Amino acid sequence: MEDHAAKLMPMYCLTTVFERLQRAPADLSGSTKGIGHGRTDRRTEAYVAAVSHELRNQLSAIIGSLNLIRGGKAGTIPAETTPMIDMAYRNAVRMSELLTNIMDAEKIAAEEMDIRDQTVNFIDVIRNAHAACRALADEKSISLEIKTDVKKIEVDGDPRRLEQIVLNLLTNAVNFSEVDGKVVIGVDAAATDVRFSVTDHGPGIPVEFQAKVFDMFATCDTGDGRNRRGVGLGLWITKALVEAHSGEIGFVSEPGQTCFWVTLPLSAGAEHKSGAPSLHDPP
Amino acid sequence: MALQRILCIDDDPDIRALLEIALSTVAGFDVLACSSAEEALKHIRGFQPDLVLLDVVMPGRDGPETMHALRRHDDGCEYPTVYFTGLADADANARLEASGAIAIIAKPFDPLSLGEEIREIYDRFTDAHGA
Repeated sequence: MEDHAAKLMPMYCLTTVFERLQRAPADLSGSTKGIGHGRTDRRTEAYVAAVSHELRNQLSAIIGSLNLIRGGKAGTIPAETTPMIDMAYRNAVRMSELLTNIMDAEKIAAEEMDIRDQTVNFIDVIRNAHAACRALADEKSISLEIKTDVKKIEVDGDPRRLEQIVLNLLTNAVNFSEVDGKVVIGVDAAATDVRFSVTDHGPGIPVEFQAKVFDMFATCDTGDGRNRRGVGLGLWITKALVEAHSGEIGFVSEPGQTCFWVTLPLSAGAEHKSGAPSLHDPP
Repeated sequence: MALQRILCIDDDPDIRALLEIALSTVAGFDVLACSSAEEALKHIRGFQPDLVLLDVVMPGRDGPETMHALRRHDDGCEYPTVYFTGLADADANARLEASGAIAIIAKPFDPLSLGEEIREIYDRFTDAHGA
């Protein structure tokens, strides 16, 4: 009986995916602007959307259950079990992030990344990304220091995608930092653009890898295994998102320090206000 | 009026079980979890939800079709509806909002904070609409 069920399971999964595929949104065009104009493979996009929807549902059940256990809602967990629950949770979250990256990469490759166009206070974007990265930084006792006297900088773009840009750079910096290290976030407004930077004090990017940093599937082996997370999509996606916002991205690296920077054009009629302290003010 | 009764519709039994724990056990709401539009249609008049939490991609009627069916079934009563989706797409989300949802919550979700998130969404909605 169990063998029979096991044989039927792949068929059930494929059937479910096919049903989702048939029901996937057909037309994603609308009020947003896309990255470039070119090839459109609706079938592939619908397939990725359908599969990812299934995986998201299953990951929701896994991550949600683990969250309830970690939050003490499923009774007391023996102390020796807690590290395994935490490990399962961390890896499920990474799978979810990887899934998001695969979906984004598919959209970028199909030149159909959706970018909503609205005026955004970039300082709020940095605040949100800073908060989202806090837990990861705390795991390694890394301080996330914000250095700026700017309170408000308006840019045009998609707040979720702008936050993704900042969060990707922060996460990267934390991943390559030593325990008890420091990551510094800088923001400056010029006449026509905002310059944002993230500086870590990790090992630096090897010279031979620097030309490939923004390539798809590029992963940097620092010799200590810190490249093991991810498949090399993060910075490729980040660069595409920056360029979709008419910005530029680059980096400066030497042994013991790496600084990634991003410039974005200010919104037409943008405001930027100074006055320290700034980012630590309540919203 | 404070949020108390939530009707959840999701075809995935594991997600329904999680929603019941998150919204009933953790957050203290009265929750009715249904697997389809048809099951929800049988129970909605008796349950009288303050809010409907609705999966988007389901076999049979999908999320928007389910929302319209619930409204037709109950003399056009427009239950505040929150979509619950794994479709992380800005345009798809914009279309869902345009279809009448008051908010969209992305999967995966945190069961420990979901109740509070929904309560805030409901309070903002009732403040704006004087309910």
